[in-house]
Amino acid sequence: MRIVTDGREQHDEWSLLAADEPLDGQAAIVPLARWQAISPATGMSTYGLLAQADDALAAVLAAALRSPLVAIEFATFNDGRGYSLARQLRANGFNRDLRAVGEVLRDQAFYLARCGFSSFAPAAHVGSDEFVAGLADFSLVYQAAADDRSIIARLRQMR
Amino acid sequence: MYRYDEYDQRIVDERVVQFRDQTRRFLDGSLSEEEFRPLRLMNGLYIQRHAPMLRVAIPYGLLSATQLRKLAHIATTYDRGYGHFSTRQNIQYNWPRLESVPDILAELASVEMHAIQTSGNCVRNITSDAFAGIAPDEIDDPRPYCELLRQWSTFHPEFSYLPRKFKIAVSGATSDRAATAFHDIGLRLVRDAERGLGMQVLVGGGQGRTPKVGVVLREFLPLPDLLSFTEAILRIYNQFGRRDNKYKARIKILVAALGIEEFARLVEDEWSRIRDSVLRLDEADIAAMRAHFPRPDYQTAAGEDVMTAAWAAMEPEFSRWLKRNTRAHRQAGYRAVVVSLKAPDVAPGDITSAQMFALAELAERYSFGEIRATYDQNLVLADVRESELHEVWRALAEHGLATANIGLLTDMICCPGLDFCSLANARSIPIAAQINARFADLDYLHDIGELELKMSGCMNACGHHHVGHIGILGVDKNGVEFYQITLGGIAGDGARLGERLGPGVTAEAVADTIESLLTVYVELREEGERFVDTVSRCGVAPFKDRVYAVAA
Repeated sequence: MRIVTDGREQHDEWSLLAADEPLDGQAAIVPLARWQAISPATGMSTYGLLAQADDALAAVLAAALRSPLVAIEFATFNDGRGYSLARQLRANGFNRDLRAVGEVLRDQAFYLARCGFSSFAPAAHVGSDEFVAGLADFSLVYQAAADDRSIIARLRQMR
Repeated sequence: MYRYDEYDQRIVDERVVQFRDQTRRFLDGSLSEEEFRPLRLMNGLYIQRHAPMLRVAIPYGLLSATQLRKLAHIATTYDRGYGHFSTRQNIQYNWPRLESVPDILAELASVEMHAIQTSGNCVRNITSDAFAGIAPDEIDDPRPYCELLRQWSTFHPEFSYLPRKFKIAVSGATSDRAATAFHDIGLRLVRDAERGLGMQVLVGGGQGRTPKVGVVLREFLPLPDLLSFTEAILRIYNQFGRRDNKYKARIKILVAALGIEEFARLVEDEWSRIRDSVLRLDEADIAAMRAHFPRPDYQTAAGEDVMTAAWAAMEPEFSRWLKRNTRAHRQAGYRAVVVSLKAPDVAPGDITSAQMFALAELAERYSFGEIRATYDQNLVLADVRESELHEVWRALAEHGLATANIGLLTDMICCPGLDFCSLANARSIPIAAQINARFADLDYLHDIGELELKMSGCMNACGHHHVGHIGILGVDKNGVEFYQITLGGIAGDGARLGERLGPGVTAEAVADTIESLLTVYVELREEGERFVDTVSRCGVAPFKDRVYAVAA
């Protein structure tokens, strides 16, 4: 799929699989129930996990630790639950690729990145270049989040 | 007051660039109406009945004279020469052009102001006590905590798409002048003999369709935990607040659905995980912020003022103003002056550019160059020497800003209503005018005494009718405006919701109805009893009987 990561457009082998699409060995990202059904009981799965805003948090956190990739779906761009879910995944130690999928738009790019997303699949009508521009809307931040920016309060102390 | 450093300035400058680009993309069609909507709202921009409405943030109500002049300039240049102060200590312009908004934001940024998060489903302007830092009953100055919260919440990446708006108020005094019980989070500074200074945390208060008095979530929060605890509350709300129905999406609905014990358990669990993170404030953080709010350089020799007393003895109008429109100050020789934006012939909360310029001048001359906006849509000159009160009064009166009605019936809170707002069901400004016309006699109003009348043009309750001693709610029944009256609401100490009097009255009958209520009050009141106390003691029944007997 087309993604933005490391500040530029890239394409990778992962694809989102609809519920009724057969698995044929490709790198598939599947919803939680299907992920649980087809992943091994222990150890790493080969499937990516598609987490949706309604999924139970504990189940998502558990599955994520055995997933090579977690995608969080934004059914609409203004459903903010995905931001908190991303932060909780990062706080819980998930350190692989965390991808925003669904209605992923330019004007939320900066916030998404700050909440711990490492790759983004912009909506079809959003160009990769403009999405990359959105990642740099602000050069300073007031509050700590899941990224490693120095917050303004610390910059002040270092002066 | 808090002054921007280069970091704060860069953030608001970058916001202007961002919003200019967003507006350009909306106007050229590359950003859809639906995509633009939350972006413009998070800049305080509504699409209204006649024109866009722009709400400008006044953090915890504090303004410099320079900022007030800029607001006046914006009103003249981009609007129709006036602005409207809201109950959340912000100012609203009713007639800007969408295309001009980026320029207005640039003007604001040049004086350390912005419109960030004055609307939208995010953390709104932090509000506080207009008498912060000067009130004799203050436990601690709430403004440093307000500013810490303002910075923490500004462009918070996780909490910019909440289920619904989120309002936080902070009170630092024993008397609550910030209506903390009617906010999503209400913070009250408390001093504990063992633990020292901390905060009592209320959650789930609010008005609107489902009014609720906030409940205590935590009796004592240590100050270093302010941000981590707030973040825990917001995270739980963001995850579990309802998103299927915007009328059930505020945190008060979640708290009521879960029960306060379960809600508290979720918050405490989350908090225990993040409490000792970088969110923890250290002593230096708090001390540095407190240093932004020093005591002004008071004239300690101000002393007792014989001239002011002499003027008051000679001029009854000055005496009345002194009694109603000034407040005690913790510094001997000083008083706080409430500037009434409730003159009989203007919409409550409105102020012209000329008045703003004049007030900026007065603030510089008499009150250390600062002005505060109040919860009840007035302004305050917080640090006026007693010996200069007469001069200040004369200057205010010259500009129509000295109506001696603070705390009285005509000091109404009133939303813009159907005349401006696209959400409203009924007019509110003409009803305010009707009430002003009926109750023009200041002697009568002074005899009636303290009375908070609050009026909203729809159930969203921007005019806080639920907490008015007399509340008025405009409703529409088959194209006809009716006004429902509530009695006994209290916004501050002893917070409670008003009780419905009975069926709504017609627009023409509002002033008559209020007159009946006041007549009953005068008959029933005991010595020194306020209207709301009489309602508490006697209940609404005697008022109801009179109003509906008259109507029948």
